Amino acid sequence: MKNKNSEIYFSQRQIEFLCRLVFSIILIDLVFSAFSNTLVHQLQSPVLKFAYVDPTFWVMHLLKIPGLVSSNFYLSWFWDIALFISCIGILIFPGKKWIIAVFIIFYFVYYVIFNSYGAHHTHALIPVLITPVAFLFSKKSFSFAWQGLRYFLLFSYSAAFLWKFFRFSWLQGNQGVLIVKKNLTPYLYFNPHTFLAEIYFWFLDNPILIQMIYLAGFVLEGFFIVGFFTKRYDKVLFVISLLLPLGFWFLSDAYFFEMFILSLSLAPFNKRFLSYPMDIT
Amino acid sequence: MEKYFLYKVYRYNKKLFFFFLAFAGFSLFCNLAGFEITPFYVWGMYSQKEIQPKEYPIFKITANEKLVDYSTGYFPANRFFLLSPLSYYASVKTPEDPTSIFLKEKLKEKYEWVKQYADKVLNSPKEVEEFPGWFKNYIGQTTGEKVQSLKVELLLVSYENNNSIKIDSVHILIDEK
Repeated sequence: MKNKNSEIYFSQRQIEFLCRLVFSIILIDLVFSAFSNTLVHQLQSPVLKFAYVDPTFWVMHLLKIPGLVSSNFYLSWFWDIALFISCIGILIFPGKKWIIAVFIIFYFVYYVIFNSYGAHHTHALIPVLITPVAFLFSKKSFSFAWQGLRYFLLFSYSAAFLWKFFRFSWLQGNQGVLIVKKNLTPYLYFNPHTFLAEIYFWFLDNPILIQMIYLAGFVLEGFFIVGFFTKRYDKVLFVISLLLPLGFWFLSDAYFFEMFILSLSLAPFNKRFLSYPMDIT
Repeated sequence: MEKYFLYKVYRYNKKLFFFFLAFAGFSLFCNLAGFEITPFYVWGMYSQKEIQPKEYPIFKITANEKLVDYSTGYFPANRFFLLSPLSYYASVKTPEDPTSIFLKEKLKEKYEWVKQYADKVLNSPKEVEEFPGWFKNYIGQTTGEKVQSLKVELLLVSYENNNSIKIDSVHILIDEK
């Protein structure tokens, strides 16, 4: 894991700028959750849970925390209000670490509730859970924590590439088409005459193009391995990290736009946008 | 050596170094084992070879005699929360929780050790029975209307040679009046 630029440290002003930027995106995400009827109080006391085989989820359910929070009218409202207030509080006071800690605790429980009662452990919310942790570190350590997020992002896409590579799914000629059909059949059935449906049907008539998009995504994920050895291509990886969620959306109707939060760790903020990298040595 | 990120962290702060090392180590281990323990995530995203199914399932939701077209006009997370639990309910309706079946297959006789915890974490028949009532309420939350009647049908469809979709069979999953 070489990196040439880790001598650059962040000033307090830079950290606060990044903190506000991250939590602005998180606040937008929370507002989207409200419109999506997926805040805790909107879930109507869900009953079927899916802890799967994740020990963290098992512990949480053994402690009965997700059930208690989601099934109690007042507690569920309190949870949602606490999420919003802590998020807004961080935007106003980005230097107050205790507010960030409060947000992480409340969001962690929300994350477990969302994935348990949503009956699928989606990875979309992970960046919202992980990224704020970097802002808990001291000013001196923040640079390393921020770079840690960069490696976390590199690892996630590299692992996705390696999983596909070693499972040989990239060699399956109709993998892309099968993914599209698996995820978009309801949309195509209920809305066969929309412009978007026509695009999908056209692609289904030309399955080689779908496979090319799938393979392009696979190769682009593989590019992230380069990031472990040099930062020289971070700008390219940043652009790729913005493109990949679009591909996930098109091929699998999966929304991973929260990954953009982690993409910030690849952006050249300390040089271009903030103008004064600071060396503490 | 000086250029390595972890070495720099080691030089800067040993506690931080061990924190990063442990996180990286556990993440790597979980990915090699294919076993996710939050926050050590397995990023397998669509890596499994897709198998050509004979049929694709579609849920047709009718509330108050009106079709709820969840496939459009709803936010993605809303659609996720409508469909994913429904899909899980369809699989749990078989006598046993699918996670329990999975664990029994994996752990064999060791399952007995886990069973005491599994009974508390996995869904009981009572929770499965309560699902239609919850779904009715959640459809009400989503549509903004009080739901008097709810019907959920599972349509099994297939693609014809010209990629048009035809219904092969219809199964009633929920019928609440």
